[in-house]
Amino acid sequence: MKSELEILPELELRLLKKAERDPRFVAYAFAKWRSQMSAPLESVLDCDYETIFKLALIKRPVSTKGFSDSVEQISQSLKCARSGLVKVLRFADVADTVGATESDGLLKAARSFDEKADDE
Amino acid sequence: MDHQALEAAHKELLAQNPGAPSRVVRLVLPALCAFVASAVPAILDHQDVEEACLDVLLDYLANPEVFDPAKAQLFTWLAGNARWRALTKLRGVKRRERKENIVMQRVQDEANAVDKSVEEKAFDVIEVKEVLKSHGKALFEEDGDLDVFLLIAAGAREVEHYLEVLRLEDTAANRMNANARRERMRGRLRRLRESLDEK
Repeated sequence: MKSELEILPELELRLLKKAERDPRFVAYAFAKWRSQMSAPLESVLDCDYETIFKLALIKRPVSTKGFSDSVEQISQSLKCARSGLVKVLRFADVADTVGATESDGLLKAARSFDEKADDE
Repeated sequence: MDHQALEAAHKELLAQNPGAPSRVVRLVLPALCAFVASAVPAILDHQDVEEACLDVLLDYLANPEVFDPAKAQLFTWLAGNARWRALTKLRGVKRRERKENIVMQRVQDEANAVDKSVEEKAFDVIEVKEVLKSHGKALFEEDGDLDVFLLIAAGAREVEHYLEVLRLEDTAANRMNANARRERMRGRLRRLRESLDEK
């Protein structure tokens, strides 16, 4: 079954694929999530594929001071679940640190973000 | 191209408006690809033009502050950068083609050294060119693979030939390395032949 993202025009899809390999973009975090987690982004972020496309092209908020404000602004503006966005972004941060081969470590880290994301 | 809308989207991008990146993309991407394709007619592969445009657009979205509106219109600036990238890639392709022609000449020289008919030699060259054209991407993974392939095609057996094209000094370790590269290429050719036989 085609993913809804595959309904985008070909050029936009290719741009998205490139952005998924570029750590500067939210698309990179989305790709990390998709490669490890079964929950679809549309459910985690509570939005449609058009919003996912818009989110993907945003510069990835860095996990430093100002992260919460950035995520708040993004989720308000594009109408997506704030806690879901935090979860996905932090997951990508951990995935980069832990490494893709250590899937157990990643799963444990992801579960721990379930609690953190609810608190933020 | 709606330059005013694009300039407005650029300002929103600088202000970190979350909706701005996708707005910029939708305003500019198709027109950018079309413009650069017409500005670089020597590029035969349209995909290469599009790849250059996508790369330039992503770099801009990541660092919009690099664009100076005092110097040019945004679309002109993006198009100029994309054209430069596409031309740089084309120059790389031309350099590779020149190198391939040199190695092809070597193949022909090697073939001439063996006692084959003119027709057999012609078919050797045709077959090699066909493999290069249709299966190059699958066979050539690292620098030097093309040269190794062409030596194999020419029937070169002495490791000295492989050392020379791989630009390796003649040491025991490099001889092992050169032989390993030859065996890897032979493995890929074997698998390619098997996959073609299955069709």
